[in-house]
Amino acid sequence: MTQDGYKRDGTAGTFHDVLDYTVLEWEEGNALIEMQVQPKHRNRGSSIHGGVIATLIDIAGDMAGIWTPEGERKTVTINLNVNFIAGTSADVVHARGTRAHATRGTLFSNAEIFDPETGKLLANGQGVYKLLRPGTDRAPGINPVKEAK
Amino acid sequence: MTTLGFKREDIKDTFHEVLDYTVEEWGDGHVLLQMVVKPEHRNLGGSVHGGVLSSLVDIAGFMGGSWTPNGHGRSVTINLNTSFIAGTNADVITAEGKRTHATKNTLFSKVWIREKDTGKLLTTGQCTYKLLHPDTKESPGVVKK
Repeated sequence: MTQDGYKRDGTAGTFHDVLDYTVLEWEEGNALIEMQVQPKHRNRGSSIHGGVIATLIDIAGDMAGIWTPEGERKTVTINLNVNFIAGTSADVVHARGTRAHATRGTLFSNAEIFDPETGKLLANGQGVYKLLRPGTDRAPGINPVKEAK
Repeated sequence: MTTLGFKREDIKDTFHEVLDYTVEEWGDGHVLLQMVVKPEHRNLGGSVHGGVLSSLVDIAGFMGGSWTPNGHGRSVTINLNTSFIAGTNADVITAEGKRTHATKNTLFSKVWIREKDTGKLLTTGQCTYKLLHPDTKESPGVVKK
């Protein structure tokens, strides 16, 4: 069972494409995304790879805090803590991110991964993000000279 | 210590292939992975995506603690805590995993991700794994369809 979602703008050709998620809800302080679990997301035990779960927590937590009426803010993740609560063989998972608190420069979010059919909680986590100044076009540590090559 | 610069054979068609890392060193309590950063590993700002770094922390933490002379065991991750220290546009990064402690059922590891050329520290991570019985085929919670 999948729901009607949409793809985020500007994520083509990045790591977001590997996850291939769609957005179901996105507003200030809240985001809900859906991912169809493909073979490339699984590990040897055919469960979802911990790295995929961690990535969904990272993205959902981020999205919860960057929505503004004028467009998305840019961030970099500072810290991510993920608890893997249960394995699953579900074909679709949902990730909900909620903003816990934000200052001018820092965003704190919570995120949960669950099976949308049973509501079973699979993982939860907390993300801390640095909110970049509007107008910043590249992440810190990226050297513009190299990009021009 | 196993041979250098190889790809694992047991991870075909899994998420490991998306990362496409090579194993440079793998011994008791220690592993060194190397990853060539591709466009698909980057985020909107051109940096390596936090999810890629988290995935490397997860994999290196497990491999660092799971090597035995008879192959490596199976596990599921319980907790992953990653600190993103610096961004990078390096083309090659390394992930070093070390076992902190292991009991019969639980493994604790630490991981450091660095730029290969400069050695600059990019990310640190701390992970906890449940070690599965060697005969386990499916991860807990997975029902064979």
